[in-house]
Amino acid sequence: MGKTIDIVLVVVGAVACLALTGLMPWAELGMTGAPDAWPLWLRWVNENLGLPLPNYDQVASLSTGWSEYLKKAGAESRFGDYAYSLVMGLAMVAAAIGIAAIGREEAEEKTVLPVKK
Amino acid sequence: MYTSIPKGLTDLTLAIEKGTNAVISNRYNPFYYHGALPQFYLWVLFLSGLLLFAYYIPTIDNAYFSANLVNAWTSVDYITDKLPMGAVIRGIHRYAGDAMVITIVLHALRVWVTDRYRQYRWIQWVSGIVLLLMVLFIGQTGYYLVWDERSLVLTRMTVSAFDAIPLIGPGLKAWFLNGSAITNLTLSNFLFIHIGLSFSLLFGLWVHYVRMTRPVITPPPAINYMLMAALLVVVFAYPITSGKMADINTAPTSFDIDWFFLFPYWLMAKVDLTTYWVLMVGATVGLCLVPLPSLYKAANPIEAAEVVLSKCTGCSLCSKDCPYQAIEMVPAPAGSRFKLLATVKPYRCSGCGVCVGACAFDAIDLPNLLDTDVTAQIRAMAEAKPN
Repeated sequence: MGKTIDIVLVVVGAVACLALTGLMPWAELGMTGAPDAWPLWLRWVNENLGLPLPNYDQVASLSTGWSEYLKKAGAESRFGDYAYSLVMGLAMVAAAIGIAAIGREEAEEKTVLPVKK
Repeated sequence: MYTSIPKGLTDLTLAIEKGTNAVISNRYNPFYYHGALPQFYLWVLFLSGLLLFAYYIPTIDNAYFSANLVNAWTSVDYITDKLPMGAVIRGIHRYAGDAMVITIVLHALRVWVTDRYRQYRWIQWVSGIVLLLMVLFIGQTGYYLVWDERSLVLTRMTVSAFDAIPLIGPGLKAWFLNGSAITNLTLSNFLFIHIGLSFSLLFGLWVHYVRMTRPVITPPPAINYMLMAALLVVVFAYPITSGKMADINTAPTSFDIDWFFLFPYWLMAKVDLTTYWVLMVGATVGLCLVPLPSLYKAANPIEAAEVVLSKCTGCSLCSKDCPYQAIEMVPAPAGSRFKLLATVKPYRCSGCGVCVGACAFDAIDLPNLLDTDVTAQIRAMAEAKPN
């Protein structure tokens, strides 16, 4: 039972970490996945070598809500930096859960008392 | 006095630790790394501070740049609003300071609740109090460096507080301001104090650790991730902002208070300066004296371990196992069959008996608890049949 939970936690932690890491470029680009926000060299690679760029349409609505929150909280600019901080923080939480689940079994105390027979 | 530590509090702490072990195992239980948590945040502060230092300009006016106003406030504003990730680094630096204070206080509380602060540990306790005071003062100087209206009020309040101290007050004031009034040199001095005192924490930590053989100063990666993640999420949730730029020709009187570092200023505003210093010095001395009574009134007086010279082979096992560096290996006298001999430093010995267990030759004993007595007690307990 315990081992099953650990495996579930490892999988959930890893998937969540990867998903959140995927959001980091979106945050770094100012919470937009628009083609003109990407660096020139990456656009060149996309156009000439056919490398697909991620599509962030599904998280576009997050940008508005997060920007409004940050404005209210006193931030003046570079909201994407704050978003990057949040996404990276959450990815680290997911990674920590996964790592702790992997190490939990190894951490079980095994006390061996030397007994003379 | 020490029986007054509420037993319920100790039991509660141990119960929480046990519960945490059940959920995340003893390997990742933050209670077992409570001393290492502030240390982690210290490294974060050093690194983030280094990045901020690269862009910080410690002046109060544009004495060196006539074309544009460039001073401490505008440099902080530039870091926050223009520099890529500048706001995040500033937020990390600020909140790591807060987190360090929280973790230090939790560390001290746990040490107190679990009764690990007295007798041979008094140096760790007293050096810990000094380190906490240093951290608080370093944090306060960080608030001066922003050079907004709050910085100006805090600087003036600090000057008044120093000025009220008899004899050394005027000297402290001149040292603090780097002159007789607030000038560009004052900000340079604040920066020097902020950074210089931060590095002197390392010496303080050496004193703090010197009596421990294997201090745990690095939490495992999973805990480090959580500690860093907490900072990053808070940076988003509570963005750091500056107030209005300080103008030394004005007299702002109110400011937002950060309770982690600025609580002395709240007290300063409530009482007169004499009372303030009596309370601050009294509280500090009182905290430092917490372990003192046990030096005289230990319920179980400690008798340091003693080496049986005729049996010691100089194998060093006791020295390696001693948690408090109380056993030193010295050259054996001429004519001895062995090269080394164990000697006990009585002032460091806690009488814990680890060395007795480590010695394979019965060459070290606790005078008030002989090895043979312990063996007899264990044998008696093992042979006792349950009813």
